[in-house]
Parts: sequence; C-alpha cells; structure tokens
Amino acid sequence: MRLLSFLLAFLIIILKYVFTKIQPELIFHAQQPPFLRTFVFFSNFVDYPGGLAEYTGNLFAQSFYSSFFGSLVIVSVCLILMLCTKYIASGSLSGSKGFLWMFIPAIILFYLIHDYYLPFYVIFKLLLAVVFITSIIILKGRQTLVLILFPLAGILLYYLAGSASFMTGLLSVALYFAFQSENRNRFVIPVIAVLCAIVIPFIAYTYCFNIQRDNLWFSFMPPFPLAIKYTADKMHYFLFYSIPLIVLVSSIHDRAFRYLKRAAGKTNRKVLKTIVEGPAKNTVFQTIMALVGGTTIILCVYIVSAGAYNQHKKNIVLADYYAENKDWKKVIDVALSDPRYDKYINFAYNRAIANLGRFSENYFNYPQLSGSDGLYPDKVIAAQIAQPACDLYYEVGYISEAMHWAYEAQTIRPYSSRIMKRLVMANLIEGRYQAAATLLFILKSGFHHETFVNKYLPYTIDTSLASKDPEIMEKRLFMPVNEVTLNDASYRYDLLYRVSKENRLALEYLAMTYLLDHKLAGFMEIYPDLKKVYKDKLPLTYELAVILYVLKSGKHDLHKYDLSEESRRIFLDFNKTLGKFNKDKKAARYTLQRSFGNTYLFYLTYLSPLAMKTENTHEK
Amino acid sequence: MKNNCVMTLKMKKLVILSATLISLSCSKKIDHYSMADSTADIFPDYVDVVIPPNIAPLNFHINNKGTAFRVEFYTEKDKGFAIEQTSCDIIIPEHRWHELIGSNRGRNLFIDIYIKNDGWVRYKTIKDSIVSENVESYLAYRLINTSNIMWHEMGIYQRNIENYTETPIFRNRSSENGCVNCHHFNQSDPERMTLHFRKCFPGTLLLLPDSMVKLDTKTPCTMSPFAFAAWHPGGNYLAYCVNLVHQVFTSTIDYHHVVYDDASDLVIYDIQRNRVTTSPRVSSQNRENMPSFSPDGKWLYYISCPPQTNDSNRTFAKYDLVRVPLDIETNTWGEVDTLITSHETGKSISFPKVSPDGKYVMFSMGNYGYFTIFDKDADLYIYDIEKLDNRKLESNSEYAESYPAWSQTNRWFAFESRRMDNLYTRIYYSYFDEDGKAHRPFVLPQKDPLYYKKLMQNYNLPELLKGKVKVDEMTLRNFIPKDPIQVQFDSTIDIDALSGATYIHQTENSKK
Repeated sequence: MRLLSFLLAFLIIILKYVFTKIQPELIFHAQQPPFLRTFVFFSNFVDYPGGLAEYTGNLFAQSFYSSFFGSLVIVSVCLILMLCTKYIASGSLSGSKGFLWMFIPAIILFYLIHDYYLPFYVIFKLLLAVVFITSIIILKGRQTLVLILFPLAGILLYYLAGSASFMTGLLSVALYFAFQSENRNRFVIPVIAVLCAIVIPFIAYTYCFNIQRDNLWFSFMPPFPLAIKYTADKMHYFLFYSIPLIVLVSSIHDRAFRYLKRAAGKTNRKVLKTIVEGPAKNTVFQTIMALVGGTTIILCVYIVSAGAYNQHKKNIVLADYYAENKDWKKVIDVALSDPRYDKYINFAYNRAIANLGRFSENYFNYPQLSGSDGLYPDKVIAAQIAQPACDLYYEVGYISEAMHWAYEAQTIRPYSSRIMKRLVMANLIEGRYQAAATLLFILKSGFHHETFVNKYLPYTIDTSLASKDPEIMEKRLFMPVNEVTLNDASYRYDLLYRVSKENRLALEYLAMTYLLDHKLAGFMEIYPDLKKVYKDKLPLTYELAVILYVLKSGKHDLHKYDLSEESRRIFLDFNKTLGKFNKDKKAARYTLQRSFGNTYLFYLTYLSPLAMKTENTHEK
Repeated sequence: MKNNCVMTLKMKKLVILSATLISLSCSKKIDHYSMADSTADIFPDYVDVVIPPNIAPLNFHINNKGTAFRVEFYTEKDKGFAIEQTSCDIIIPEHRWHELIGSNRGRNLFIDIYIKNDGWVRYKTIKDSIVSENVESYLAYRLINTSNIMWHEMGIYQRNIENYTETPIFRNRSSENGCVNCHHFNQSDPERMTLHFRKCFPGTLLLLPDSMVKLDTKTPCTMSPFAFAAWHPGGNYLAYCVNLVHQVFTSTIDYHHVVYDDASDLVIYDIQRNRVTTSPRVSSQNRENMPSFSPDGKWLYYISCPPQTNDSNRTFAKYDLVRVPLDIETNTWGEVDTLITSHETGKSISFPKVSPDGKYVMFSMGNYGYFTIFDKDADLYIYDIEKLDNRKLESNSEYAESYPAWSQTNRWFAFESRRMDNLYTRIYYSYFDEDGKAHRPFVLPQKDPLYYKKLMQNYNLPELLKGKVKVDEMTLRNFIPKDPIQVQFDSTIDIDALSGATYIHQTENSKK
C-alpha cells in the first residue's frame, strides 16, 4: 500500500510537471506530428521497419495538442514502462522487489521529454520492446511456447518498432533466460536471440525493405524531416540500453541472493541470515530504508528536471507558439524575459511588435543582432527558415513568397497541419479555390482543424465569401503580382509598399531594413511617407535616423525636420556619454547600454552585424 | 457476360467501411425513377473520355448526395453489369470491367447512375469510348512534393495500368534522401533506363539489358553532369543536356517559379566507348536543351534559345524548337534547322517528343523558360513534321499541361496536368487518332476514387513502358553506392573550335 501510494505520488508529480513546465502543446507545436485518417497517409509507414510504431506514435502524439491530454498520455506511457520494468526485474508486479528498478527508465524518459523535438514515436518504439520482453518473460514457464513465440514475436517487433527496439528486446530476453531460467531455454533462447539478431535484420535489409545500410542493426534515429532539430544524445541511447542493463543487474542480484540463501542455510552466521531474510516487517529500519529510497527517487527527478529543463530552448518554441496563436503580447514577454539572443525569437518578436503597431518604437528593445536578416529570414537558405519566412511574408502580404516558403516547409515537414492551413489561406487569397479545397479535404482527415475547415470550405464553393473576408481582401490588396522576386529585402518591401500605400507594415519593414543596413539615404527617400503615417510625432528611432542622416550628409538643415526635443537630447546625451570615455566604445558600452540600449544609436554602435564586421576587420 | 445481373460489390478491406451493399442477390433494374437533366457529378472526371481496352477500372466517387447508388455499365452490344450500394465510392470489380471493355473495343461504354434520396433519380448517361488500341501496360513516374529548393522523400515508381499495382523502382530513403531524377527509357523499353542521382551517391545510372553502370558524367570539358536525356533508338547512344541551371521566383499567380539556364549545351554519350562527344552545332553560345531523337535516329530535335545578355533575357528566355541532322556513328552533324521560333509564337517551347512513327513532335509551350510544369498557361502542342505546321492539342485545359510521353503505337500519349485542382500534377492519358486529333483525356485511374484528393505529392515525368522494369529496388540500392565510372570527353573534339557555352564556362572556371 505504501509503495502504491509512493508510485501514485510520483506519477502525480510527473503529471503536474509535464503539464505545467513542459507543456505538451509546445511539443505538438514544435514537431507538428503528422497524422491523417487516410490509407494514403498510412501507406507511407508500412514498408520499412519501425514505420507502424511511427504511425501509432504520431496518432498518440495528436493528444499533445492539448497539454492536459498530452500529459496524461506521457504519464500513462511512463506507468506502463515502469510496470513492465518491475515485472522484468522481479517477475512480479506486487511486492517491493524490483520497485526501485522501475524508476530508472521512467526517469530517463522524463529527462528526454524535455527536448521539444523528441518525437513521441521514439518512446513508443521502446514501449513496444518492453512489452515484448515482458510478454516473453510472462510465458517463461511454457518452454515450447516460448521457443516458438520468441522468434516470431521478434520478427513482429522488428517490423513494428525497428532495429533498435528489436535489439533491445532480444538482448534483454537473452540475458534474462541466461541468468534466470533453470530449464533448457537458458541455453536455447540466447542462441536463438543471437541468430535472430543476425538473420532477421539481414534478411529484412537484403530482401524486404529499402533501408539504409546504417540502419540495418541499430536504428535509434528514424529519418527525421530536416526541420526537426532533434539529435539523439547519450541519454537517448541509455533509455534503450537501460532495459537489458536492468535485466542483467537484477539477474546478477538474484543469483547472488540465491547463492547467499544457500550459504545461509549451511551456516549459523546471523548477519548472513539477516541479509537473506531481510529486516523484520514494519520496523524502523524498513521505514528508514523506504524513506531513503523514496527520497533518492524524488531527488533524481529533481536533479534530472533541473539539468534537463532549458528555459531558453523552451522560449524559442514558446515565442513561435504564441506568434502562431497571435498572442503577440506574450511573444514580447517571452522574448524580453530571455537573456540569451536567438534569431528565431528575434523573428517572432519582430512580428509581434509589428502586429501590435509598436514596430518602430519597440524594435530595439530586443537586441537585433541579426540586423536586417531579422526581417529577411530567407537571406541564407536553411531548412529551419522555411516556416519563419512563410509566416513573415504572409503577414506583410507577399503571398507568392509565403506560398513558396510554405511549399518548402511542407516538403521538409510533410503533412504539417500548420503549413497546410497557411497554404489554404494563400491559395484562397490568390483565388485558387480548387487548390484550397484539396488542402481542406486533406486537413479534414486530420484532427483538431474542424473549425478551420468548416470556416473556409464554404469559400471554395461560394467564392464570393472570400471577397467578404477582411483578411483575404487585405492580402489581395497588398500582394504584388507579375513581379520578379529579387533577393533583396529592401527591394521586396519597397515593392510591397508601391503596390499598396495602405500597407503600413511594408513601409515600416522597408524603413527598418534601410536603417538596419545603415542605408540612411534610402530611409530619407521614404521619410515623407513616414511623416504621413506619423502625423503627430515620428517614432524616436526614425528621428534619430534623420539626425544621423543630416549630420553625415553635412547639410546642417536639421531645422527643416520637425524633430522632438527628446530625440535631440538622446542623441546629444549618447554622444556626450561616449565622449566621457574618450570615444572608447568598449569602455563606454556598459554605461551606454543602461541608458540607450534600446535605441538605434546603440544598435549602430554595438549590435549591427555591419558594425561588428567592420570592427572585427579593424581588429584583425 | 452475365446479363441483367446486379453485381454484389466485393468491398475490400481498405475501402471506405461505410460502403455496405443493399442487395446481395441479383436485383431488378430500377423501374420507377425520375430523370435528372445532367450527368451525375463524379470524381475523377471520367465523362466523355476515350479509354484503351486494357486500362484498370475507372473507379469514381459520386459527389451527389444520396442514400443508395446504382451504377450500370454497358455498351451497345453488351448489357454489362451493375453495382448497387450505399457508398458513393464506386469500386468496379476488376474482372467484370476487363471482360466488358476488353470485348467491346471500338464501342461506347455507357454508365448510368441512379441515386436514391426520397426516390430514385436517374442521371444522364455518361458516354465514354473504348478504342481498339491498347496502351503500354506500365507507366513510370516520379512522386515528389511541391517545392523548388528543398526536397525530402521522393521516388521513381512504376505502375501496372491494367490494375492498380504500384511498385517502386527506387526511393531515396536509402540514399539519405538525395535527389533522384530524369528517369528516361528507350522507346518504352523497360530494360533500357537512365536515371540521375544527386547529392548522395551522385552519378548517372544506365540500366541496360545485360548490365548496369553508374557514371560520373562531369568532365573538364562539360559544364555540368548530365541532365535531361534522350535515348538514340539504336540503344547505344544517349543525348544529354549539360547546363548551369537557376531559378527565380515571381509573384505572378500560377507562375511563381521560373527555371532558366545560364548556359546549356547538348552532348552525345557513346555507351560502348564510354565517351562524351558534342558538336559546335549543339554546343553553341545558344542555350540548347531537352533533346529528343527521331525514330530513325537521324535527327536530333531539341529546344534552343539565345545566350543570356542581361537579367531579363536570362530569366525570361523563350525557347525555339530546332532540329539537327546527324550521323551518330560517324559523329557527323548537319545544319541546324529552326522549326518553330518563339518570335512567331510569343511563347517558349519545352519537352519536345518525336512520335514513334516520326510524323509529329509533341511539346509543351508556356510563357517562359523550359520548366513548364508549374506554368498555368503551358499547353501541349503538336508539330506536323511533313506539313511543317503546329497547333494546340484538343486535350488541354486551363491549367498547366506538360511533359508528353508517346505510346509506341502512336495512338496514345500520357502527359502531366494540373487540371484537377491547380495544385498537384497528375498523369493523364489522351487518345491521339489517325487524323492527329487528341481526345478528351482521363486521369490515371486509382483504386481509391478519392486518392488524388488525399495524395500530397506530384506525379512527375510520365514514361510509358512495354513491361515491368525488372531490376528491383534493393538491387539499385546496393548498386548506387558504388564508385561511378568516369566518362571520357572525346579527345578528337577540338574544344577551341566550339564556340559554345561549355567552352566559355570551362575557360572561366579555369581562370577562377
């Protein structure tokens, strides 16, 4: 009863932690686990070892859409894993024997799920291996049945879960029978295991499946889409190895115990008898031992969570998650609360302030270390930029580019519902209703998107509905048509602004791109447009840019521009402070950061990639 | 043929479960019904199409709502069979279908659809035509996601079009998702194939009747590895394009993507000598691409456009259709003959394919460049070699049509089209009659009628095959990691005599 209570308490702690700290909905958002209720989708998973576990794993991962249900699934898997491990280690689900062993894989699993990119099917594959081991052990007394079932179930395991699970299963069963069995299976099963381990993957590779040679024996890592940034570390491998290790150690322990028992029977030594028989029930000693054991487990959980929890990595996912849900204030909170810079947080932050209409005022509140690339994610092409590029271009109204990057993103992350939704919108905007209908039909066969499908499917039948949709109409007004897309951010935003002077976001992005690239002359060309937008007062960033332009151009006609006292004062104070340090930028940095860290002047002096590049060149 | 018999539909495991049969025994024809004034709305669109007698059943989905459906298939001479069920997915029994259309060549196939709601409604009869000429029993294609820069999973597949069996020739999952492309067969012969591998285990695979070779096709005298291919009918030579390919993106609706070459040439690969040769005729400063041999092997048809001079000219290049006579054994080339100029059409020609009887060249023509698969305005055209005349084919739609592939009977061709939803490319077959008229095409049938609404991949480069490609995927997987054989550039060719792009680029690269 006491053990059961402890187990329950452990599971509740894990459930609460996963629900509140890890938040499975963030796992869902980061990975976009694909699942469609169609045979076409299913057929992608049937012709390679491990495919069906990936399919089923993806199905369970759909529960991560809700943090609550996702947490329940994780804890349930944890519980099954623990119970199987206990049975493997002790041959029974009841009693205290093997109780501590069962926490080992659970704690490793707990560590691994801190990585938002760990696909759930990796865990599911291990679970299948553990179920396989447990099933064989349950049947251990029925020698002939085990001899028949073991290789057959092994083949099934190989097909369902892939080679890593298969090897884990075979090794564990072989070790178990080698140490624990008293009958002929003690010798036969390990031999069969070795034969299976060699023959089954070899036959599968040679005759059945088109898989890579590297994945022949130990495929721990399925072929992830490029956008999934998961890399298996030692703990990942240890999760798989922990099961045979537990079998080995618990078997050795059992053997030693049996040996001691026999020895105790032949001797009168009290110590030996005490060890063999264990402490008397309900003694203080037993209570202390239970407390020590429990504390150790709780301590392990604490240490693991402290070591594995990475707020910065979580923030990267969180910022994008809030951006996807248009919760812009939270994006800003996440970005500004994170002391470490990240370009993906930078992308999300820039979108957030733009959508809140605080673009120019708040732009430098986040360190813009990427310079103008923060508004031009596809400048350097990589798998991970496809999604941010798609989002940014959609918002600013560059629909052809949004669609282009959506297709790229979909290629590297097939069946992602998030990307499909974006494609639906882009196609509706471009008036490609049949294309949108096909995508909606596919989305309908997934989960969670009924509202979206129900809203937009009628648009593909009654196309006049699209003309009444403000979002679609605005994008149609903004999108450039019949233009070549050049690889130049300022060209793109200029084009967007030329297409529609209503596109304020494009104007702001254009202005900021000029400023970030130190192109003050370009900025001054659109100054009149900015003045029209900001009739009362130009944002500080723009005013500082005007001052810089006037001073650099040597025209000394600052009076022509209706600039605020604040910007003049900030400009003077900044230079005065720098002057105090004899224009030694390095020495002045800390002081300037405190007072002017969120200004364009500070960016130009310290953060701009162009300035840094020049500085580095000088230093060299 | 069993007359007047209602087929009980044998639903297979993976067909939609809701499809339950109303009648398990023979039932009578429906006597009481009202008439609709249109044909039923079916998907895919198999109305008024011309079909070969060896095609797999044209399963379809009925979009009209109903609680029961009865579909009768018959011809003028044959009462055929009927299906009655509650599911709107019409899965036609294969043996019944083949019995019916196989024995009714040259006749019309009629499809009567009855839909029950409050009462039965009979829709107008759908009339398709069964012609006498079979089409090649296999089809090879690539399945690939829509993307322009990145790629992940893709594969070359072959499909038995008499049933629904699809088998992979090669999928890139065993080659670290490297690109596989430009599969091409010699006159529909499944034993002679060329296929390129990029990025992972790069090289060109040549599948020959008795052997398989992998080639490293980049030489110091050619600007790139081999790209688009054309088999010489004799089977001992191939023409390839070598090119410096680029792409730009545009905001033109339905035309977001333009592929162009900075430079390109044609080369001839001699299989037996492992030698690459060319001529100033096809390695000129112009950009030559997309070769196709005439069936007698004496003419090489291809597309050509002027060299790049500025960005606009480069990006929005328009290709002409040209041909050059050659004696491939002696490497003797005649004068280049321009057949259709972009100047006269205002458009750009791509994917020329000479018919097996040598009478026609079929090609795709779009706005710009040669990669017309994404170009909504791209259509198929036919050039009559004797009459020196070209015209748009009847089988076009308002969406992109490209990459035609001739049947060796001359009576059929397959092609890519985006007409289904303007989103994904599917393969269509069209009948090409003796008068040179193309008939209303039909999409490659699938067992699941809604398959094309569920598949998020494009069909790419259809190639008709007389039989199955026998080499299996595992053999290819084991073969392609092998080191390729370096092809040799023809030492008798005076590189300096070539005024072409290859030479220019080679010189520029040497300077670098």
